[in-house]
Amino acid sequence: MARTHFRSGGRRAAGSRAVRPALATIALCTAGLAVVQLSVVLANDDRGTSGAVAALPAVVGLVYVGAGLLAWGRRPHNRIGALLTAAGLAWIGWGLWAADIPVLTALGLLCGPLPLAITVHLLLACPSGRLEGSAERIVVTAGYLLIPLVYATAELLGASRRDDIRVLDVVDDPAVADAAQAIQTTAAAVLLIATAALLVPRLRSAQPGGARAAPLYLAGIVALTVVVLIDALSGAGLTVTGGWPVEVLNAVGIGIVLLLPLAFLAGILRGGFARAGELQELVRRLGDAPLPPDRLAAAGGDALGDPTASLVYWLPGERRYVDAGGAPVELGPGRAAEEVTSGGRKVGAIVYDGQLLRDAEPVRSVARMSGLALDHERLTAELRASARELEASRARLAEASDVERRRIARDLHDGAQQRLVLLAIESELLARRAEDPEAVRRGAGELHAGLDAALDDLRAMIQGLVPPLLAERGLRAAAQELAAQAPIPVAFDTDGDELDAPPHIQSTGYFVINEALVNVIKHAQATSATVSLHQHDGALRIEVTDDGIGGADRARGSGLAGLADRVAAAGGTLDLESTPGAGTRVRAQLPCG
Amino acid sequence: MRIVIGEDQLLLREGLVRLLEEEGHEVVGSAGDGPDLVRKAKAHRPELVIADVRMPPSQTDEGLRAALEIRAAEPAIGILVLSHHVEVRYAVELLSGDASGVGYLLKQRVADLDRFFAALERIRAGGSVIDPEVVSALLGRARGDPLAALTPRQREVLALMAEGRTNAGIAEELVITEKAVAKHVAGIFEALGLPPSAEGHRRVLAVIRYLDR
Repeated sequence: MARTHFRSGGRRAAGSRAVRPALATIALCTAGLAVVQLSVVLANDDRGTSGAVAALPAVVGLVYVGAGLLAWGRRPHNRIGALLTAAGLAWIGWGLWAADIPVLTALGLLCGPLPLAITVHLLLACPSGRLEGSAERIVVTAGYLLIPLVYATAELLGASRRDDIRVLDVVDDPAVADAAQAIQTTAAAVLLIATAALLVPRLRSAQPGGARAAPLYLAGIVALTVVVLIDALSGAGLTVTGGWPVEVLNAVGIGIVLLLPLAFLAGILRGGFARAGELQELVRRLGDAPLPPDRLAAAGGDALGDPTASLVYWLPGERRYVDAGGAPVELGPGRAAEEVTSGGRKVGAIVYDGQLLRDAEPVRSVARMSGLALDHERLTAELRASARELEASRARLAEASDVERRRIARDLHDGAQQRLVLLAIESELLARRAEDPEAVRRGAGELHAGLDAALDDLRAMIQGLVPPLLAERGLRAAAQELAAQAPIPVAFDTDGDELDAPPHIQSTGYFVINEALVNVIKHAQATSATVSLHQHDGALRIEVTDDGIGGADRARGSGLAGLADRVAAAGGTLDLESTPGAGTRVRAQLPCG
Repeated sequence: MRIVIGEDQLLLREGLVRLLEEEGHEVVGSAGDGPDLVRKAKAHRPELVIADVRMPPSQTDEGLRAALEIRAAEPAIGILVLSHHVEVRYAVELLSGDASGVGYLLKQRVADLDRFFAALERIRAGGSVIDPEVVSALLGRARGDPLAALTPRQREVLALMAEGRTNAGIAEELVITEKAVAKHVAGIFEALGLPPSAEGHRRVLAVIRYLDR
């Protein structure tokens, strides 16, 4: 039954607001009832008790109803509010026994045992409003069913011994009436003892929440004892202490009974029993501004009514919980824990007062929210790291591109540009020797040689920038050429199918092979190498292995680092395996989709 | 001779035409892309087709493929393939099959007029012409004992042979007698395990095939 409390999350919050008009209506009706009851009772001159005593049930009832409505409004899902209100109505009902109208009197007497039964229920269900355990349930059920039955039977058998309610008497025998009353008292006493037996262990557990309820339990036990005793004693015709009238004793008893709703009310008002809608309010607030997980857990605990709730973290290596400071946490008596998972693994727990919050379901909700908050934190951290890495990679690529441009400009400036300027000068000098055919022929020859050299330079530069073979025949042909041109034997391993990859992917692949082979030739001191080029599953797979000295490092030498950036920019991956003494393997995978 | 040109770069095309016509050749057709070249060659049936490797529409190796297509259709037509850069594999492709009347040169060699016109004549006569750049690339990459067994002089002769020179041409280049050249050539063929052959294009083919393995 408790499961429905928090599953209907949204309805709850709305409910606590919708409940107010209902509560107001109940308050008004109760007030009306009390007025009616009072007027009926006070109008009866034959009641046999003073007006004050006769009015007490109504007063007690109103106090109960007042406290009950307040509790109900603050915590709609907690039954304590409803129970208090019901008790109050029962008290008002019971007060009718002093009325002059037989029907009302009978009604009043029948209401008699109800306050007792409801009070027992309240005490056992405090502070969460729910009964745990079959013992509690049996006692409360007995209270609701058996006691009224016993009392009603006893009344029918003349237990009250009132002349004005003889209407209920079936058997007119004083002995039976005595026995009936004795049964009434015994039944009440049994119920009381059973309740006390169930309450005493709770008093013992030194929990903050439990301690809050301790005065309640004490007050309840005392009140019940006094009331039942007085009732029994007055029924037996005895006075307790010499000279005190029975009426006064009754009044004192009732006064003690008044302690109960006030004790309940004090417990509620003192805090901890926060508004039920706060949990949903918390969820809504989280949508705007996420809380860090530990503050979320504490706020959730607050919303549930347990300010001692906190988040502890699970250390899988050491298999125990620690708090935020790293100190180990043990679950004390009365403490319960709900697991918090993030990414499918146990990462912590919400530790809370198990006595105060008997229903684990709302705590589970808080645990789930904490898990989500932890997920959020982790993913945010991962995203930030990834974004930083991406930014760094882009910066490196931009810088590499800039460096490349400058290199080309410098090479052109130092090479072809220089030569052409010189050739221009030579051609001018040649023009001046126009009359000497031999000089002209020689000069022209020199110009030609110079231009040839400039053209050779440009050809080499173009080959270094974008090899024409790559553009004309694609990666496979260009890679084969690289392998063939190397000064050491390089085997080329590939299959025959046409490569289906976009030009920039083929280009990146070419530069991987080129850079890797350059490293092999410059650093590896290898005797042979292999270039492997295949395409399958929508990706280009390139491998360059050599049998050299190994020990290549991505960090040392910007060639491999720049290559990694380029490969990443193309959406691929680059791996480097290089054990010193065992050769090197450069592996790249580029998507072709 | 009657020549058809395939070259999409306008200035170069005009320059070539002028050059050829000054030497007395007749440029009967000029094309700006691969398919057009094939059409014009088939239509005019020249003695020689000069084609740039890189031409529209794909700007990859259109001209080369057009030349090979013309070759297959009209084996009598000589082809000279020009490029700003030369690749060993293109040379091998051009020479596979019947290597007579095939040439492959860097564009800048055109400026060396004597050699250029001599090359045209050689091609028309059924010989082969391969740019020295291709040969040096081949020699640079070839590894293994047989080449190591050659004397430096034999290597020089080998290089010129791979370019497509006749023994006379080699003798002139190296300033030695033709008889000495013939002796060197025989030695080379023996060292490389190649069958001796008198025909120019077969020698080129054999050498290039051997060096490219």
